[in-house]
Formats: sequence, C-alpha cells, structure tokens
Amino acid sequence: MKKYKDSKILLPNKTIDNQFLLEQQAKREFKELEVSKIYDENYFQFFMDFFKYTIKTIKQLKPFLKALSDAFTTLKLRFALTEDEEKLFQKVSESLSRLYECEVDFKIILESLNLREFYKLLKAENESESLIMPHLVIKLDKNKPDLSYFTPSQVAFKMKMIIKNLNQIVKDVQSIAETMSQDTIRKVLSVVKEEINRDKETSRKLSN
Amino acid sequence: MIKKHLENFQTKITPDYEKINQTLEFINREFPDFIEEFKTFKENAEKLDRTISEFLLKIWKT
Repeated sequence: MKKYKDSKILLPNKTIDNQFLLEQQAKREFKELEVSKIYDENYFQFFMDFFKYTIKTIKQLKPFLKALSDAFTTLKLRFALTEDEEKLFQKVSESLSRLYECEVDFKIILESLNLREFYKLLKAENESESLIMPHLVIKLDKNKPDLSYFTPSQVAFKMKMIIKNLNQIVKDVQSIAETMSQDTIRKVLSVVKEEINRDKETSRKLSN
Repeated sequence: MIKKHLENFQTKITPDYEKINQTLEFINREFPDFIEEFKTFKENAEKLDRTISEFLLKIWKT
C-alpha cells in the first residue's frame, strides 16, 4: 500500500514540446495503476494482517477481560464498590461486550468471504471456551441469515468497525491496567482466592 | 496475487476471490483512512503483550 502511495509517475526528459503528451501518458499510467493496485503485494499484506492481528488480539483480550469481569462481579456481590472500582468495572464490561461484537462481525466476514479455515484459528482448544458467546450464536442461528449475502461494502464496513472497536478496547485495557489501584487488586485477589478454596472444598466433599 | 497466496493456506473451502477483491476495492475507494487506522491498531496490538504482562506482574507483586 505504502509502496503504491509513494509511487510517482516519472516524466523523464521533460521538454516544453512534449510536456502535454507526457502528462497524458502519465495520467493513463496512473489510471492503470489504480486498477491494478488491489493486486499489489502490499494490499495483500494488509488483507492478511487484518486477519492475523484480529485473531491474535481477540485471543489475548478475551481471557483477560473475562477474568477481570468475573472478579468484579464476585467482588460486587460481597462489598460495596468504590466509585473508581465501579468505573473500572463498567469499562471492563463495555470492553467485553465490544469484543463479543467484534467476534460476531469477524465470523460474518469469514463466512461471507468463504474463509472459514481462519475461523478455526479463533476456536479455543476447549470447545466450551469457544470465543463466540452462546447467546450470540443462538441469535445468529435463530435468524438463519445467509452470511454469504453480505455484500463487499458490508464486509468492508464490518472490517472497519472491528478495527475501530479493537482499537478502543486496547486503549481501555491499557487504561484499566494503569489505573487499577493496589487496594482494588488486593480485594479482587482475596475474592478469587476464596472462590478457589470454596471450589476445592466442594470438590472434596463431593468426592467423599 | 491474492488467489495465489490464499491457495498456499491450503483452504479446504474455496475463498470467494471476487468478493475479496470487491471488498478491497471498496475499502480503497470509500475508506482511504482505513489503512492508517489499521496501522495504529497494529502498533497498539503489538504493545498489548507488554501491557498485560506488566499488569500481571503488578498483581503478582501485591
């Protein structure tokens, strides 16, 4: 892409006499470039990078945000959250719901372009940990949309929305990681430890 | 070009090359700023590993 953007039409041996002809030729060549640029290597690189980075980012963010959301939910059931904690919890919830939206849009893109092989990369090893939320899958299945009907412009729009949303989530995660106080971390950790101990106790009782 | 590269991925289902090209054409025509937006995202995404690691370290130290 950059290669294409930076490319210039060179007009060698410019003279006043042949200026007009050369300009016409340059315009013609430029038009040809416009048509052929979608086959440019850099364009392909952009296309592949889109899938690579989207998959990588979703895979990184999902468990992180899910763990934080679960911890805050438990914390809220036990203690009154401070104003800052409420704000953090809200940011985590919003990011998580935005992430689910990205996943669904991503699935639509893959289905629309017949690139389902990429979708397998998104699946977690454990099927129950599938990145697509069950309620969203049900919603999709219920309406039975033929995903191949999504037009190129709709696919392009979804690609743009995914990047916009992921960009926002990454920024929010950065802010969450920076602003969470030691005190909140301690509270979250104590709740998580209690949950783990309770689970262990329940398993022990059940096995006896 | 796209077709050649995608075939290297050994996809079992044939990708819809025509739609892929049309999508890219549409992006190029209607969203000229998309590539720049994507570049920013790429840079931020590359920093994500570090952000998460530093946060986990902060938790571990607590």
